[in-house]
Amino acid sequence: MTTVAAPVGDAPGGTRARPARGSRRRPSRARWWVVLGFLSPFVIGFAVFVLYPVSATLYYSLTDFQAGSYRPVQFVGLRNYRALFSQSDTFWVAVRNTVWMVVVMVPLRTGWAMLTAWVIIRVKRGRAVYRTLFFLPSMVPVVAAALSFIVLLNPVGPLNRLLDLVGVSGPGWFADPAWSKPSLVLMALWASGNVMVIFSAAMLDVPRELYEAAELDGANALQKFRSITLPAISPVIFFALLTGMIYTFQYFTEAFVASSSANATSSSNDLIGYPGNSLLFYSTELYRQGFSYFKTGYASAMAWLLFLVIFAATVVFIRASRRFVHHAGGGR
Amino acid sequence: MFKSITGAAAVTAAGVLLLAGCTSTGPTSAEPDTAITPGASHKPATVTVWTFNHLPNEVAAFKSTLGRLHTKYPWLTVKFVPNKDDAAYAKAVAAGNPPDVFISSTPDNVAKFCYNGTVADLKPYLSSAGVDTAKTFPPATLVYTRYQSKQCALPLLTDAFALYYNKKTFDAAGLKPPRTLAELTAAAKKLTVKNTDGSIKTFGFVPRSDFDVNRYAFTGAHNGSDFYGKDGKTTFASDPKWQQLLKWDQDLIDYYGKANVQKFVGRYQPHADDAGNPLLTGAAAMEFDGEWHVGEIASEKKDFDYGVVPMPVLDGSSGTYGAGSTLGTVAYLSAGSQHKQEAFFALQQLTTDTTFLNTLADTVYNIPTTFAALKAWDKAKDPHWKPFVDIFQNPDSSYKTLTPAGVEDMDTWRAFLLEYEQGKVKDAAAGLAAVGKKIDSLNSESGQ
Repeated sequence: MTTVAAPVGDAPGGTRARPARGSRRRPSRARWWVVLGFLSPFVIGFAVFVLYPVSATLYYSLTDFQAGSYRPVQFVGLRNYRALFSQSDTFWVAVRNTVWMVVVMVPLRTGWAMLTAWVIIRVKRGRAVYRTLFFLPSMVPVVAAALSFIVLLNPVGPLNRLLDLVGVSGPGWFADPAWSKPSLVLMALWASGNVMVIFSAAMLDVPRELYEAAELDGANALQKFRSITLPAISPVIFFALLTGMIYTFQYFTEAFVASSSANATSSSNDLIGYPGNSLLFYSTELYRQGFSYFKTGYASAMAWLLFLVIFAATVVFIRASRRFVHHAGGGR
Repeated sequence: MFKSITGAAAVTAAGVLLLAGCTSTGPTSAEPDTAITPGASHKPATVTVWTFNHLPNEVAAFKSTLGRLHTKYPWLTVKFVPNKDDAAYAKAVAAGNPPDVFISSTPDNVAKFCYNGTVADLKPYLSSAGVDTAKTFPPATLVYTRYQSKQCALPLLTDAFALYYNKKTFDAAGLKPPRTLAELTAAAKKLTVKNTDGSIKTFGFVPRSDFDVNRYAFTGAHNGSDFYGKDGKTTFASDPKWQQLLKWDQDLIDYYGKANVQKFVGRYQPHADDAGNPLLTGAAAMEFDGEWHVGEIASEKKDFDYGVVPMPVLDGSSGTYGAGSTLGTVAYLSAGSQHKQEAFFALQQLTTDTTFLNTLADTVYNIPTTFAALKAWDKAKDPHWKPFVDIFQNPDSSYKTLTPAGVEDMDTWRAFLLEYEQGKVKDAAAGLAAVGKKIDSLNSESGQ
C-alpha cells in the first residue's frame, strides 16, 4: 500500500487552507520584470511558433485563402468544414485509411512491444544485449527507417528473394495497394523498441511476492500474466495506446516517404497516396490540399477538425481507461 | 474590469489585423509594363531566379548561361536558386518575398497562378520587346502557358510522349508498329510470352494509367476527344470515345489479369527510368514514355535496338494519329517582383536563347521550345528523337486546357481511372458522367 504525504500547508480534511485575504505579499513590479525576463524565451517562442500559427489556421479555416494568391480573401464561415464532408471523395479515403491504422497498427504495436518486453525480461543471459538490439531501431530516423524498409520490401528485394527460395511468391509490399498498409505496420513493429523499454521497466516493477503468492495458489503462467502482470502494467498499456493513437491520427512521414520511393517516376504531387491512394492518410491529404492545391483555408479546416477529433478521442479514451487501468494502491 | 475588456479587445483586434495582413495584398510596382532595350545602359540590378532543377548538370547549364548573360550585360546579376517547387514558390509569395522569376515543372498550375494574380501577364512585355509568341514558340507550348487571354508563362523545354517498341521482337513476330489501339492490343497479345508455370515473362503492353507516364495517354489526344469542350465543361459524358478508350484499357488489363498487371506495375514502377526499365530488360515489348527515355536508353543500354512511333489512336480517330500530349517546363514572372523589367529581360533570355535551350535540352533530354532552337538542334533529325519533335510540332498536339483548379482536375481524373481499372466502377458511362460533374464542380468553385 502506498501512501502519499499531504502537501505542506494542506488542511487535515484534504482541502487547502485559503490564506486570509490580503495576507499574501504582492510581488514588486521589479520582481515581475525579472520573472517575465526569465520566462520570455518560452513566452516569445510559444507566441510566435505555436499561438500565432494555431490562431492563424483558425482564421484561415473560415476563409477562402489560398497561399500565393493576391485575390482578396473572403470570409466564408463554415463552408470549408461543410466541404470536407460533402465534396471530397479523397477526404473519406484518407479518413478510412487513417482509422484503419489506428485500429490495426496501434494495438498491434502495443501488443508486440509488450510481448517482446515479456520475453526479454525472461532471458537469463544477455538480457541487456537483446534489449539494446530491440531498442535500437526506434532510434533510427523515420525517413531512414522508411527507406530501409522500401529496399527490404522491394518486390524484387531481399525479403521476396528469400521467400522465393522457399517457394513463396512474395507480395508487392509498398507497391501493392493491398499490402502497403500492412508493410507500414511491419515497420512500426520493428521500431517499437521505445515502447518495449517502458513495458519491460513496468514488468520488472511488479512485486515478486505477488507472483510467489499466485504460484502458491497454483496459478499457471497465463493466469499470472492475466491477473498480475496485466493489471500492474495497465497504466503503461494505457500510455502506449493513447500516445500511439494520437501519433497515428497524424501519421505522415512514413507514408509520404513510402509513397514517393515506391513511385520513382512522378512529380511530388503524384507521390501522395501511392499506390492507388492506399497510403493516403489524413495528414497526407491535408498536405496535398495545402501545398499541392494551395487551398490553405480548406487545409486549415482539416487541421482543426483533426485537432477536435484527437481531443475528443483522447477525452473518451481517458474516461474509458478508468475501467481497465489499475493504479498503484488499488485505485482505478 | 473595463480595463481588461478593453485590453482583450485590443489584443483580439491586433491579432485579426495581423492575420489579415498575412493574406497578402496585391502587388504594387512603380515600373511600367514594358521591356527594357537590350544593350542600353542600365543601372545595376540583381534578379532572383528560382527553378525546380537541381541535378548538378542542370545547375551547371543554368549557371553557364547566366554567366554569359552577365558578361554580355554587366548591369544584370542573377541570383540563381535551384531545387524550388511550386509549394515553396506559393509560400514565398504569401510571405511577400517572391523570387522575380520562377521556373516550374508543373504547367498545370499556370491557370491557377494566373487567375490568382500570383504571376504577371507577359503580353505587354512581349509586345514591347517585339517578341511574337506565334512566330517564336510552337503552338503546343502556348496551350499550357496561357490562361484565357493572358500569357502567364513562357515555355522552357517541353516533353512529348510516344510509343517505344522493341524492334527485334517486332521483326521476329513479323509485326509493324501499330497505328490504332486495336492494332496495339493485337500486337500486345502476340508479343506476350508466358513462362512454363503460366506466369507472364514478357508483357506486350501494359496500359494501366498509373504506370510510368501512361496517364498522358488518357488526356484525349489519342481518342480524338477534348478534355474540356468549348463551354469549358468536361466531355466525359457527352463524348462516347471516352467510353471506348476505357473499354480498350480494361480489355487489355483483363487479358493479362488484374493481379498480373499489379505485379508488373509494382515491380517496374520504381525502375521506369533506369536500367531496370521493362522495355530494356525484356519484360515488356512496348511502352508509352516521354522523350527523355531516349537519352536514358543511350546512357543505360546503348546497343538496344528500338523504335519510336506516335501513340496509336482509337479506331475511327486515325485523323489524329501523329499528335499527342505535350507539356513542359514553364517560366513565370512574379507579379510581386520589384524589378519586373529586369526580371522579364532575364526570363526572355532564358526562354529564347538558342544556345542555352539546346544545351539544357541535351542535358536533361528534353525538346527545345522555340522554332529557332529546334531548327538549330542537331538531335531533331535523329531517328529516335524525330518522332518526338514531329509530335511536338503537330498542330493537333496539345495538353488539356488549363483551369484555376490547378492540378486537382487531373488528379481527380486519374483517381477515377485507377478505380475503374481496379474494377470499382461497374458502369463506365455513369462513372464518367460522375467524374465529369465532379471536375466541373471543382472548376466552378475555383473560379472558372
